[in-house]
Amino acid sequence: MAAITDYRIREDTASDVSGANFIGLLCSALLFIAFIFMPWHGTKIVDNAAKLLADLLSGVPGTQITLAVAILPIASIAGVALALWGVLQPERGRLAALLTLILGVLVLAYCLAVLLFPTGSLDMAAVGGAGFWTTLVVALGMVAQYAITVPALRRQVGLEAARPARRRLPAIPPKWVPYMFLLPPLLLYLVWIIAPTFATFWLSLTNWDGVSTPGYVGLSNFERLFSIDRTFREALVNNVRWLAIFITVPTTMGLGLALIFNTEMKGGRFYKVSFYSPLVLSFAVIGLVWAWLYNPRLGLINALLGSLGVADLPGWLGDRELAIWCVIAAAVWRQVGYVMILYLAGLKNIDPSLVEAAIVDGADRWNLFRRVVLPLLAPVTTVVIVISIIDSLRAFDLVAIMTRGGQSTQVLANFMYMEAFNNYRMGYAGAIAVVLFGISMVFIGFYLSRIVKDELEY
Amino acid sequence: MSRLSRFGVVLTFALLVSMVAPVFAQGGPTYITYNSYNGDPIPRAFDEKIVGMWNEAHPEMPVEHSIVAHEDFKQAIRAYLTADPAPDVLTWFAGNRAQFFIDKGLIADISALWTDYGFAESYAPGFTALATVGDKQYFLPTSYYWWAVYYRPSLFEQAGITKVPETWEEFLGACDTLNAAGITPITIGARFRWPAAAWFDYLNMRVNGPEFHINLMLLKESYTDERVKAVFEKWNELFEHNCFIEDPAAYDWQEAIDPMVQGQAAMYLMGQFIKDSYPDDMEDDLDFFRFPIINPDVPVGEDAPTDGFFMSANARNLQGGLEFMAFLGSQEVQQMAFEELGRLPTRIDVDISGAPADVQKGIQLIQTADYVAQFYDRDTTPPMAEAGMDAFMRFWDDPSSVDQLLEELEAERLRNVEEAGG
Repeated sequence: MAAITDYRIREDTASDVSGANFIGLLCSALLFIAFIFMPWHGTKIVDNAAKLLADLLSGVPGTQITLAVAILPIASIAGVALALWGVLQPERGRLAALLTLILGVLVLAYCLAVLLFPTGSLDMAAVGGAGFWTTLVVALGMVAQYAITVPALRRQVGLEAARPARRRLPAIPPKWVPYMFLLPPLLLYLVWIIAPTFATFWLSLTNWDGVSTPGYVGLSNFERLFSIDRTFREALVNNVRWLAIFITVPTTMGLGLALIFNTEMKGGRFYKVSFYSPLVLSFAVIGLVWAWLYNPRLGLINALLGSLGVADLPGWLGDRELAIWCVIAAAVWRQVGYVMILYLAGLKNIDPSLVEAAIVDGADRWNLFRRVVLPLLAPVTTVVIVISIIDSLRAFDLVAIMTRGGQSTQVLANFMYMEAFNNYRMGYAGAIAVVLFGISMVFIGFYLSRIVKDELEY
Repeated sequence: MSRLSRFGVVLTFALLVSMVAPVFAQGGPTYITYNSYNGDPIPRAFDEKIVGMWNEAHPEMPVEHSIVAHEDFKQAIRAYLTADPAPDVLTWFAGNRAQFFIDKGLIADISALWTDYGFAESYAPGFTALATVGDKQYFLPTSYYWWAVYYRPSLFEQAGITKVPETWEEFLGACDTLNAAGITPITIGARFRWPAAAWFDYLNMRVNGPEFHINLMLLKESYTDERVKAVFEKWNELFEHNCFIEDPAAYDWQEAIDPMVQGQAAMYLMGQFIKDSYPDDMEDDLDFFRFPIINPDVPVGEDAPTDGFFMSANARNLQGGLEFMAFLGSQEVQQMAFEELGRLPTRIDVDISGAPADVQKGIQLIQTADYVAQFYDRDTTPPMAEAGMDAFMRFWDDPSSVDQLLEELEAERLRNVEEAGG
């Protein structure tokens, strides 16, 4: 009996305020979206409140808005934070809901001021965009928490000691809770990832040039890709080369280095940092540096070869046969340190007693590695190989910086970029993107299925 | 329940109030938007200075200026022009790159500059022609630079060449003489391919004349034409005479200056901007000559890429934009650009008497040409230029593959023609 009573008290005090906080969370998220994506006046999306505020802050002449509009981003971000805080810490829920309520009142006051004094000092002359109305409605929603929050507060201070439970808004069913938390990120994911993906699928069936109205051309973009386009074949072959090198060379080198540096050695930390340091460089810097190294006349590589007495110095990037391997080598240089760090972390997680047991059992070094260490590193190896595959499929930066796809170094990502932004064949570039997406999905799907299987096992 | 319905009443009331609330019209534009690609420090400072001058003189109609790096600007241009509202005034290039947008109806007619602002009298006729499509003006050319064969007189002297080559035979002869003296005749940095396109432009204009060249650029002539093949035969003669440095594709255009500076290579077919990257203390030993004449029966064409401005058809502030363009194309601004940046004026009333000798010579070079082309990748469509430049480099690696390459280029040309028609 006592337990049930406790439960009821908790529900009385906490859960109905959590409902208020959920409303606050939704309203604040919506407020944020309205602030960034919806037109504050007129119908043009570029005229959103965020742009107007940015114009105002950077002193663009002719901006017709006052600083008071800054209440919108502040209220939306603070609202989300407060609502989450309130939900996660139910004992603070009431305070959070009250503060959200105050934010709502402020936003509502701002909206009403804009509405009632359109030519006054408070704001610009023209209102009436979807963003404004959404903001107004959201502000009303935030204020509507009053219906939940204030009675709860009154109850707490004893003004309204025992009101019947049916007077309250129904509490949020617990099974909805995760979905409500998921809603804001899912919305963003929908806008930025899912929608563009499907837009690309559609685009790949058109001949859009970036300017005219897209015309539907069926599968002819794909037909051209797979039948006559030599550059596409070249790019595909180069991606396969990249992939073949990436899942073998940096992987084994990284593993080897990790095994070496896993033992205590003098200056080990220094060497580890040395191998890892290329990773902090951007691809643009790596591309520039390696292009200098490859310079046949002044570069370090040919200078070294020359001083060793090599007579016929290679032209590196200038040599059509060598160029793609030169670019891949630069990428490998970066990747080795990355793989090494992953394996080092994996080695640290191996239970030393297993290794000791193997040694006691008389395993030699090779068998220790082959039969104990390597199987224990299997999860890391999976991650490393998947990362290598994905990195090699999205290879772009180095090619763009070092050759811009010339010298038969074209890869799919750069080819897509050139078709889209140099040749303005958006539809054709979309078809390349779809092919790249398809290839990537094979590997990503494999990886995800393994992950999911692992999770189900636990 | 009642609380909910009360809330509903309030909400409905608020919505009703807001719907009948007057929506005030926005006044006319009070500023001009101007997007430019002058991201490099010196042109950027000049650009900002010009805008500052305008804003000081026109506080009632100031310019909102945004500067984007050159390459990014080129990628963003389509988004700019199709946006609504689009930026009012934009920097851009003459030739096919402007033509494309004009054909799509994205560029505003600025003929008023020629009729009402006196540009018809003050602009050189060749540049007015460059601005004109049909009988209307759309593009405001404001500056250009020349291309020529740059060379080091001291190296020519060292090899015993007394006079710059003016004919093809003299040119090949100079290559042989330089090779005999242990100097590579010509340097080129073709890692990003476009410097190779200059060779195609000049060889085609010298062999077949500028009219054929520009028709090829406009996709009206076939790449499998015998005349195009003849261009590659001339090009191959240069390979046979070992005129070029080894592995040209290993260097970008600036890196390829180095053999010249080191005294190991004598010539470089390059634009006037080579001076920006050439060591200042060695510029005394840097001169240029007109690309040698191959067929004396065809008119002389030169590459002189021209930069300027246009206004988007979607512009919010057409009148303000036009006035700002009149200022950008004015004698005052062109005189300043000439004196401070060495940009060659497109107006005939700019005083060039104070210019250094090489600039006078460059202006002479262009003014005595029968035809001025833009450059391969500005005269033809972007995909055609991309395919063409790739083919030039493949030809460089394997001159025997020319027939296959030209067939591929022809296929690309037909695809471009089809896209333009569709």
